[in-house]
Amino acid sequence: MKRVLVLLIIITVLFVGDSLYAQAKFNYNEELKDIRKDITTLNLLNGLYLNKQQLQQYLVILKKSKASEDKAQIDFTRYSNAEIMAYRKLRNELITKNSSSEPTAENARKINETVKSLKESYEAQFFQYEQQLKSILSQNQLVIVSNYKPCLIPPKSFSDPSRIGQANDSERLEQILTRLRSIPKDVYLERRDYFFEDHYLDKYEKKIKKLTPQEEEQERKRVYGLLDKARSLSDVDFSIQKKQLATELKPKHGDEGPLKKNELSNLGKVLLNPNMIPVVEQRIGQMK
Amino acid sequence: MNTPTNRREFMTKSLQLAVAASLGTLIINEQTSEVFAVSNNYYKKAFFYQKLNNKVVKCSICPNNCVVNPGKRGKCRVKENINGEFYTNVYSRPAIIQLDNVEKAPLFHYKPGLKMLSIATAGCNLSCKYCQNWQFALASPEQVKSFDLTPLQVVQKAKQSGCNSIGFFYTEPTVFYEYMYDTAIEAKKAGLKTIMVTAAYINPEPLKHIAAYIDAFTIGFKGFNEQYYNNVVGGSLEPVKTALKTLRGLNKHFELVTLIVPTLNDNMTEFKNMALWIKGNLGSDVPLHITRFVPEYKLQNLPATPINLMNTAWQTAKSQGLKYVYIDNLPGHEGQNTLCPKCKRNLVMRVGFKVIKNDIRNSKCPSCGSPIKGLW
Repeated sequence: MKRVLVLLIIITVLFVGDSLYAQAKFNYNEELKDIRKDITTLNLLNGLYLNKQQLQQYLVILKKSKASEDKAQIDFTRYSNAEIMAYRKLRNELITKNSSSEPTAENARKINETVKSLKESYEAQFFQYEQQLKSILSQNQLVIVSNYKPCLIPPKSFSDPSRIGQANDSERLEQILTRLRSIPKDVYLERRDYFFEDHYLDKYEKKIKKLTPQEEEQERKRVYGLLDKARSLSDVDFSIQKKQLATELKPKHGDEGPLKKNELSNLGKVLLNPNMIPVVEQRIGQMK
Repeated sequence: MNTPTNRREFMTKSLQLAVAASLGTLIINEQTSEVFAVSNNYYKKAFFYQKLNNKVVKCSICPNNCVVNPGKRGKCRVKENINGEFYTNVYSRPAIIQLDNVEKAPLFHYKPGLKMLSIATAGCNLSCKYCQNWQFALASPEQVKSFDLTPLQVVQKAKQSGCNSIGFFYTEPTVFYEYMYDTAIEAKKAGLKTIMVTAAYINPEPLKHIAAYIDAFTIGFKGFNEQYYNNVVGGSLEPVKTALKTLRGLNKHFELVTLIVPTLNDNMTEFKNMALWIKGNLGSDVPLHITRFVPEYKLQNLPATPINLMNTAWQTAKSQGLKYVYIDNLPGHEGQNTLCPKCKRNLVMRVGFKVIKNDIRNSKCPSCGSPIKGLW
């Protein structure tokens, strides 16, 4: 009896412990995601230099956005149980009967449409908030936001002050090119391969798309050509051309096309962050 | 040349001449015909200096007016007394060569978007405690990696790179005067514009001499307080004011840039007086750029200029009647745009160094027809 009890306790601890661990890991991931998002927002916000009036207007929009988010959370939670039950029933019928009955399908369809409609309604709301945000920023600020590419810890650089809160377009690559010029040929050929595989290709496939073998070969040729050119230039010509070469070395994003209906642009995605409410309130308070 | 008195002396002198000839540079003392060899082509006879007794020279390019003993250099580190003659040691020896837009100078009223090949050598005749390019400006030429580029080659590189202008930028071009001068002459022959970005710490005669070949200037008008100029900049205010008035008299295009450094030159009464002086002596249509200080070099203990102080300075300058006042280093700020001084239409929109739109037509506002100062 004692042994059974001990065994039960061990199993419980393992099970609960595993769940706790999974929960902790989930919480950690969520918290990390939140923190990174906040840093992205702050880097942009700090670089925009909003005046007091803009901050006040921004705060109003943030609060409205937060209220909508909270309501959306409640609504979607309310429907999630109904969704699970409806789709579970649909799945079971597909497993056991190879097809779904009309009432089950109709029920699943209704739930799907309701949730879809709810989603579209909230998307439209957030899109409106983004338009309101747009109206409080100056033209200059909107240009900066549209070019904004998030960077966690942007290096200090004076070469392009409009790239606020983010890494300079090409400085890092210029440094790499400078180093590649100074090493012996056999080391360079190794480094060239490493650069392409680990630096360029990796980034390309993460940010743009996976390349087919032919596309990869094409990109390899292009990148090698640029690196070889950087090495072959005189010091003077390299000094003049390095920025251009570095820019050409960045993976090329294709044309993403127009945004879908109610899809948020950079502006909404980055700035409609409810965690900024206390930050903005504090900054308004500090301003005269 | 001193006549050798024995075979040994003859052989020594011949060897010296042969080495010097192979290295490309001979310096001949015009009075004694004594020959000195220097080991590279960076030396060239300096402009604007006087010979004093005992082979001492006095430089008169800038208000430092250095008195330099034989074998020594001036305060700028790039002018050298070799046996009683004065030489630049950075001729054709740039340490910086790069492509820029003219807006980076900053020049906002001169051919927006103009592409510029910028060059600079080591050295400077001032010693600003906030210098952003101190690794070059406050170094001797031997301490920095340099390139070999003659004035003609500079022009050729500019054209190859698609540039319509050459900028003497990043370090103080007054100190590489001879190189700048010859390069500017070549640039004019090739139809390129020339831009000098300077602290205007230069004597009137050299300024007039170089101004004949420079199309536009950006002047660092660093403050309006002699003590600030002495302690923080390492110079003096009055010669800068004289240079500015000289430039005004020459009818050259120039724009001013002032860095606001917290606790050191952020007194708004002083700034107001500076704006009044500019209006009274240079004209209300001289563009003034107010730049935000960020911690650098010997002033890393100071904070960046607060935004509200930048805004105050901006408003102060405008309220004193200056028509074109800009805020730099605050991208996204409306102070980067050019407004019509009469109807306030936003004529030129800029973000950082990029021109986003330019509505000026025939140097006038398209709405009210007011002339807009500059070369558009």
